[in-house]
Amino acid sequence: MRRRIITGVTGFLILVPLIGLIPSTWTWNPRLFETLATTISMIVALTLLNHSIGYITGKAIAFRTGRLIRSMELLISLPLFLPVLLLSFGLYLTWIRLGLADQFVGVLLVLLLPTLPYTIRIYTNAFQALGEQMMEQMVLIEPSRIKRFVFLTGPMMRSAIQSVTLLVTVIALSQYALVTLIGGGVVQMIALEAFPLYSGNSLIAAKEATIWLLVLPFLIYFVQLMLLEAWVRLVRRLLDGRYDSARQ
Amino acid sequence: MWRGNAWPATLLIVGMVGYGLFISLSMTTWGDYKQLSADPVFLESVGISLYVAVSSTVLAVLIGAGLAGFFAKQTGWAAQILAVPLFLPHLGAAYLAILYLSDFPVIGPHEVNQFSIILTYLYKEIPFVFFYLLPVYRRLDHRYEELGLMLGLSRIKRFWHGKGVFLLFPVLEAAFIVFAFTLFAYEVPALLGVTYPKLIGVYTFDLYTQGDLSRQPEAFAISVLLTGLLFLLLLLFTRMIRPLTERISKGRIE
Amino acid sequence: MIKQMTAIAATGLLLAGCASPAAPVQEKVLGSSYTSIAKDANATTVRMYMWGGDEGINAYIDEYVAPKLKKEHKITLKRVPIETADLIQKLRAEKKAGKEKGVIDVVWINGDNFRNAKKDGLLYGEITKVLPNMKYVDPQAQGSDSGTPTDHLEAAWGKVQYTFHYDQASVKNPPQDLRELKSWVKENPGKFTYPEVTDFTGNAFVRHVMYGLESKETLKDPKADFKKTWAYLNELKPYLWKEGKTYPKTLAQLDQLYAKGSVAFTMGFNERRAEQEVKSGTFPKETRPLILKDGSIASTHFLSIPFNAPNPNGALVTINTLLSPDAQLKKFDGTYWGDGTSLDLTTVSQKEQQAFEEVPAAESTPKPAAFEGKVRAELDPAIFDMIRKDWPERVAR
Repeated sequence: MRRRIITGVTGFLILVPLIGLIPSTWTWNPRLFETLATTISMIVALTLLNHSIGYITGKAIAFRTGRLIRSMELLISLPLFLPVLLLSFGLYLTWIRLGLADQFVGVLLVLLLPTLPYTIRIYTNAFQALGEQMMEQMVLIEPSRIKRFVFLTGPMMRSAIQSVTLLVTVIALSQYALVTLIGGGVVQMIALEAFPLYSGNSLIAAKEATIWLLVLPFLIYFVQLMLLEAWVRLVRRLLDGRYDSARQ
Repeated sequence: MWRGNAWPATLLIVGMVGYGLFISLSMTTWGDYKQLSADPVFLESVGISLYVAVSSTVLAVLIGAGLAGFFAKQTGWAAQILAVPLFLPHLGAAYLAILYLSDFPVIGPHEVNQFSIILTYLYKEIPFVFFYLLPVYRRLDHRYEELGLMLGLSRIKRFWHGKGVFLLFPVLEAAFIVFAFTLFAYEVPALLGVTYPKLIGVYTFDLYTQGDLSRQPEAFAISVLLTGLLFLLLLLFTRMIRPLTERISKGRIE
Repeated sequence: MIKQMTAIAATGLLLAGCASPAAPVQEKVLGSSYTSIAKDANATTVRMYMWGGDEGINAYIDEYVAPKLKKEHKITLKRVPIETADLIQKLRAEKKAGKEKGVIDVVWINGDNFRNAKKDGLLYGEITKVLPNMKYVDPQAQGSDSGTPTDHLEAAWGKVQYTFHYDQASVKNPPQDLRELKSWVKENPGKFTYPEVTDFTGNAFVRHVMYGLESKETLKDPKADFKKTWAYLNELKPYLWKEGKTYPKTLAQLDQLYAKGSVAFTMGFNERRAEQEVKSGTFPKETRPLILKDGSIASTHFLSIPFNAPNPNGALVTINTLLSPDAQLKKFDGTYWGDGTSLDLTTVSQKEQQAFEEVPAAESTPKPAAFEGKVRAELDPAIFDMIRKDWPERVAR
């Protein structure tokens, strides 16, 4: 009973505010299309980078020992605890000189700061939960790294992959100051549109921008869910006893 | 090689953080820091930011940890519901605050008590803490507490040896993350904060962009100062608390 | 020091090749005829940076200007909603770092931002000399920007008067000067406020108080102590909206408060700005204008091109188009914006002149006579900075 009440109260407090986002008006224009295209490409690129770097780093932190890796772990987690926006004032000057300011790539690199530490943490935990013995087993079963990832580790990391994509998407969508500073308005992400509207004079326009802020993470999450589902199904069919030594 | 490689991530992050810090440092002189320490507007901004960050963190961690502990064995619908705010960016949460709280007297946006900012953070951070601690709670070994019961330890001691030891570090870590985030964030306080005093993220961004160049060194000085302080705090935290909890929980099966 | 750092960065990250070198094209562009500029601008992209908090202004650019440029010159106009002060900062950093090809083509600018940009050499050059439509622009509006000579660096885009608007339904006898305003505010606590001074309009409100209270000598001296002004604002403070503990961050927020009826007054540069809001039902029906006896500051806003504009040809064509009588007429009438024109209407054709005169004035727009003897020139931009620095400490705190 108590469980139900607490679930109910939590649900009420969390879900009721979202009612205000149910769309009543809908505008579609080329400007919005362009903004969404940039935003989605940024998120896709950022997510892929996060996955590839986060995967190998998380593994290292989970399975290596020694002082070096512990200090690396600390250094990697720094952006979680430091004022990234303030540091980016300094970074911006360098970005100009390197030709990275006002560029997609420049924003992409800077967005790694608030996202990568979370990604690495999630992968570290996932690998720790998997355990060293399990990893050793898998290495024995499938020595090829790519095949090992496609058939074994990848599917087992499903929930970590999902969490990482979600977190990266949501964090990237929220960055107004960072994207404006480094992207100079050229990298036209949705936050750049939404933020001025929030302190502007049209509540309707503000609401429409917010709907996208919520729809995009859900959309990306479900597309990924389907891709992962297809992956696992494919692997099952392909494997079909491939590693079953008893059958040889 | 199957053990992974942490070098790319380390170089990338240390490179960017170090560089940003280095350039910020090179933009400032000793005088800027002296001026800062005597600037009442800055000090008040730090004060109000600490108030917001501490209250958001304490509340988010207490409620988030409570929920995680409560739902550890069986989450039911709670996990699905609590996942919803994870899909909503902070910027969107700030809009919800503008939308719903504007007409309320005490908790509305732009109030000196900053309740709307704290509420927005709670909406986002409670679920974060919940999911951060849920796996920790699930891994707790209840035999420790049973052992304590057999040994006739007091409730508090039982809690400490059974749960506290294992929870302390993850809870503090979650708290640290939420604290640093709420202390420096720009977007939410920029939309919901008051004219004076401004929260530190907004104050510094304003110093950096407003008017003539004259106040930019101050912005860089704040950046260096806060980075340094937080870094010290972090070192202290990892050096002092982690060994402590590791020593106590030695012998625990991973 | 900085050069060394760059070198380390460049070799360290192996990204040195990314910086894009650009030849100085400035002389060439400004030296050529408008016909050849327009030819070079054909089918290019122009990025126009402007404050993005007003849906009417945004719609004017997106729905009227952008299609017009597309049709006439195949130019793709991209509106970027970033505030001008942030841009000046950006341009400064780019200048310092030697970035010769930036991203901003057209910038909406005036007042202290213009003064800062001019002082630091952030603008392209004498652009108005090559624009054919400059012949329509009112020379008086074009001459100086808040006391800073424009020196052909920017072109006047619009000319407006600071005007208060109030809801006649709740304010029967509107105050006529600052003294009466103070008594009204005291009698009606919570029903008046002004935007904070980082906002363009809020800063101007404080300057209006200065005009009403300070001596002529003080007004000329940004270093003077504006005691009377701060005292007046502090007297108002406890009776303002939310007891003056906080102020609307932007004019748009003040407008929202006014629309909801939380406050009885709003204000802003542009005497016609309430028309569209009343028509759309946002503002109360009985919104009326009010010009205080202490004066109304006349303000001109301008368009300019940054020193490192990537597409100066396109920028020039865009500005010229924005100064054309038909674009100005569309800006002037209430469809999108309702902004005062910067043109001298005696120079445009008879038909166009008539079209301007036929634009109806709503009841929220003051009659020209209301400004008689009240028009004031803009103060020294150094005073803008001073207000921004002192107001938080002496009033808001």
